[in-house]
Parts: sequence; structure tokens; C-alpha cells
Amino acid sequence: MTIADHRTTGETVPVASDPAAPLVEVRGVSHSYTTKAGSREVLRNISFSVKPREFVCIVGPSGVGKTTILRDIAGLQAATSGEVRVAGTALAGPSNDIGLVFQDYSRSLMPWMSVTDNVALPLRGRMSRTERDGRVASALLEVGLVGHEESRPWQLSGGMQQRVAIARALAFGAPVLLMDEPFASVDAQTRADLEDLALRVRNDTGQAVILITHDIDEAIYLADRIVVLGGRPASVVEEIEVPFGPERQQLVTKALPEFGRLRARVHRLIEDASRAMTGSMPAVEES
Amino acid sequence: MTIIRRAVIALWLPILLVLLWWFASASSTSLFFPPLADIVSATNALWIWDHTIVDLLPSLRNMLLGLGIATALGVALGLVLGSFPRLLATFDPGIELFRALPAVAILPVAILVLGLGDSMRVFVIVLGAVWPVLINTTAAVRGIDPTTRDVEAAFRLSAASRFLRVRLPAALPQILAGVRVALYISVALIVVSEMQGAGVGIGHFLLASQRNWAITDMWTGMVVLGFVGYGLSILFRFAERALLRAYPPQRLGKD
Ligand SMILES: Nc1ncnc2c1ncn2[C@@H]1O[C@H](COP(=O)(O)OP(=O)(O)OP(=O)(O)O)[C@@H](O)[C@H]1O
Ligand SMILES: [Mg+2]
Repeated sequence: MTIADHRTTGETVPVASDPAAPLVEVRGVSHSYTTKAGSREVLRNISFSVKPREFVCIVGPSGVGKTTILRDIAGLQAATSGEVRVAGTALAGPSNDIGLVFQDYSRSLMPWMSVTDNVALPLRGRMSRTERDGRVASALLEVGLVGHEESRPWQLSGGMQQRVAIARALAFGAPVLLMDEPFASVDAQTRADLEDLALRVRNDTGQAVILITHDIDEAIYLADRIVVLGGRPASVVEEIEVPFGPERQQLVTKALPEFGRLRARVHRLIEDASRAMTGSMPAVEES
Repeated sequence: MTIIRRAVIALWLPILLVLLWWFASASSTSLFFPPLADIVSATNALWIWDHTIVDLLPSLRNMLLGLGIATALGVALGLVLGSFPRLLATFDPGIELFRALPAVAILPVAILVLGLGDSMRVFVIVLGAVWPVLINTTAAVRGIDPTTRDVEAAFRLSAASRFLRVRLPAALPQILAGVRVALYISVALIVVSEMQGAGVGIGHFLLASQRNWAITDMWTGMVVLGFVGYGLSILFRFAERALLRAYPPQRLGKD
């Protein structure tokens, strides 16, 4: 039994008694890829944790290993060493406690399925039809897709397709939402709308969110805490608390003086990290 | 307007050829090439409906049965082989070997083992028609996008969901392309297999007419076979359209 088994979308996640206890713990995760050229360590000793309801953004220069750490957390690949714990249990493979939103919505949704069927897919064989229908309906309501139930993904705009993917992860009912650059391939206005959607979802459902992004402004706008990755192999360069509280507004929050200070700070960190990376480029070890 | 234009574009050549045949053969006295007019009246007399019931329907039944079994078998095996690369590596050389063997070459063996009945004919059709379906299904499942595999894994889909709700529909456009090839193979094989020891069937009709020097009758069999093949192909296109209705337009054949 996990806490995911007890919740339906729209309700608040009932979490273990201590709200300050970490929900996700990444403990000393290292990851090496083995290719024909040899073995290359991409991540070294990554540790951070995420509390219930917390919104954590992971940023870092391109190619630093953000997708790698996300796939390790999602259980889509095994870390070379270290462990990921969710709600106190070490993960071995994909878990019911994590709902995933992929960057490439056009590939992650099934084009032949209606919006409803896409959202319902992970729930099939797990619950009664009535419960499934209820979860799908409330997830679609949450992301603002009521009225598009019978459309196919390819009939929708990019932003709406990503909403379908978010609804699918919501309906899955996991206490943790994991997103890899979910808004990277939509236009600026849609992106702002989806950012606000992500914040609202967290506030409504009480899920913890781990979101990977290239965009420093996006990270500061969304996050309660930013984890900056850097180096080759990558490790956590710094963790930065963002003190803006759960309610944010694009124009207001981004105009705060503190927002500007945080932006300059994260910028410098990432610049230093990428300079360090290009400096020590050939990190291929023969195996 | 566009429907008429499309009909003209599709039909001008067949109509021209039929007209040519009609006039070139009109005064023919050759035993082997009777006038088309004679063939048409003989077709009316023979195939509405006596031989349709006695010969054509059993042929169609055996053919569809063989095609159906070949499709079910090819899809089921293809889903499994495409899903497990190591299994595929084990079976692939065998598949290539069997596929290279023309199904007609199996005919003597099939007759020895199964006799001259319908089961032999269905067996030969299955053996000939299963390959395009199997190969297309396997390739389609192997080619499924890695992100789709990640979705299956991340949401911990059940085996039933993975195979029936994700992989089968993902492979469907390519599967149907394979079934279309299997359909042509089946038509060819039912005719050939009925030329051996069958009492009824359109293949039997063709060969029997030829042996009895009923050459006009033989020609009617070929005309009917032509129409049947064309009709099946049109029916198949409708079925394909219906099955792929939910898919993005660019995945449909361009026509
Ligand atoms: N399957 C793999 N096999 C070998 N090397 C890989 C594999 N996946 C990623 N890498 C390498 O690991 C490093 C980190 O990749 P990763 O995709 O995690 O970075 P990222 O931070 O997500 O990059 P981006 O910002 O471009 O999305 C890169 O140098 C990449 O080339
Ligand atoms: Mg990435």
C-alpha cells in the first residue's frame, strides 16, 4: 500500500503525519553510460530531497544530465549507484507513486486514442469503470479540457496536447509529478498558461512536483526550491530557496526585486557550471 | 464533379482495353480466343448463379478462412517477436528461410500429409499468406517510438494494455499493408491449390474447362476471377479506411 492507492484526483494527498518529512529522497545517485567508446560518468553523487507539496525545479547547462537524473527518479533506468526513495521506500523500477509528463507530447500520447482514452490508459485494469471515469473527468476538468473528450491528440494544439499529458499524470493519482522540460516546445503565451496550470495543479492536489527546465525565469517562477546541476560528471552545485509562497502571478512575481536577484544568481551559477564543463571536456574513460 | 473525374482517371485504361478486346475479337474464329461477346453471354449463363454457388463461394470461404488464420497468426507472433528483440534474433533466420520458399512448393507435401480436402487448401494459404503479416507486424512493433515504450513502463501498463491497447494499434497501419499483400497471395494460392484434386472451386472450374476444351467457359472463369480480385481489393480499402479513421491523416495511404 502506498499513499497513491488512497487518493483520487482533486482531493488532497493524505501524507504521512510529518509534513516536513521528505517525500522523495535522491541519495548519492551516480550514473554512468556505457557506450562503444567506453564508460562515461554523467552524474556523481547527486543528493537532494523533495517535501510533500513542494515544487522543485532542476536546472543546469545543456547536456549536464538533467534527463538522466529524471529517468533515474522515474525508474525508467537504474542508477549506477545510490538510491531513490519515495515515501520511505526505495524504488526498483517505475512506481505507482510517480506520474510522468514527457517533453515530447506528440510522441507520448497515443494518436489513435481519444483524449479520454489517453487519460484513462494508465488506469485500465486497476479500478472499476465508475472510478476510472470519475478520475478522468476530474483530471480533464483540472487542466481545462472539458469539451474535448472525444478529440484525438493530433486535432489539438501543442499546448492542449500537453494538457492531455498532464491530465494523464494527474489521473494516475501519484503523490509526485515528474516533468522533463514539459513546456519547451510551445509558444510563449501557451507556456505561461501551462506554468500557471502546473502551479494550480500543485496547489489543488497537493502533489509534489519535480520539473526540469532550461529556462531560468521559469524555474524561479515555479519553484519553491531550485536544484542547480553542474560539472562533468554533474553534481548538485547549489540549492536555492525561492521565497514567493504558493500563489504567484506572471507579471507581479516576475517584477519583484527578489526575482531579479535570484535570476542573476542562478544565471551566474549556470554560466560557471557550463564554463567548467567545456573546460574539462574529454571525460571519456576507457573501460 | 471530382468523383466523375476520379472515376475517369481510374477507369479509362480498363475501359479502353475492354473495348479493344471486344472489337479485336469480334470476328475471331480461333478456338483459343473466342469473341468477347461470347464470353460475356457465357458468363451470364454460367455464373448467375449456378457456378457462383457451386464453385465461387467455396473458394471464397476457404480463401477467407486461410487469410483470417494467417492474419491472426501473423499478428500474434509479430507482436511477440517485435516486443522481444532477443527472441527475434533467434527466429529471424528461420523466418527468412521459410519465407523464401514459395508456398506452391509446399503443395505436394501438403497433399501428402493432409490429403486433397479443404484443410490442405486452407493450410497452403495460411503458409503462403502469413509472412507479409508477420514481417510487417514485427517491424512495426520494433519501430514503435522509444517514448511510447517509456509511457508503457512509467505508467506500469498491464501486459494486456501494452499489447492490445498500445502496440497493436500502433502497428495497425503497417499490419494492414501486410494483410493487403496477404490477400493477393491468398487469391493466387486458392486458385492453384484447387487445380489439384478438388471437385469444386474456381481453380477446379478453370482447369476442368481447359481440359474439356470448353475454352469459352475457361475465359468466363478468368473474367469472374478478375472481378472478384478487384472487388476484394475495393472492400479491403473500405475496411482499411474504417479501421484507420482515428489515425492522423498522414498515416493513411495517399489517395
Ligand atoms: N543513453 C545514453 N547513452 C550514452 N550517453 C548518454 C545517453 N543519454 C544521455 N547521454 C549523455 O549523457 C549526458 C547527459 O545527457 P542528458 O540527456 O541527461 O542531459 P540533459 O541535461 O537532459 O541535456 P539537455 O539539456 O540537452 O536536455 C550527455 O552528454 C549525453 O550525451
Ligand atoms: Mg534533457
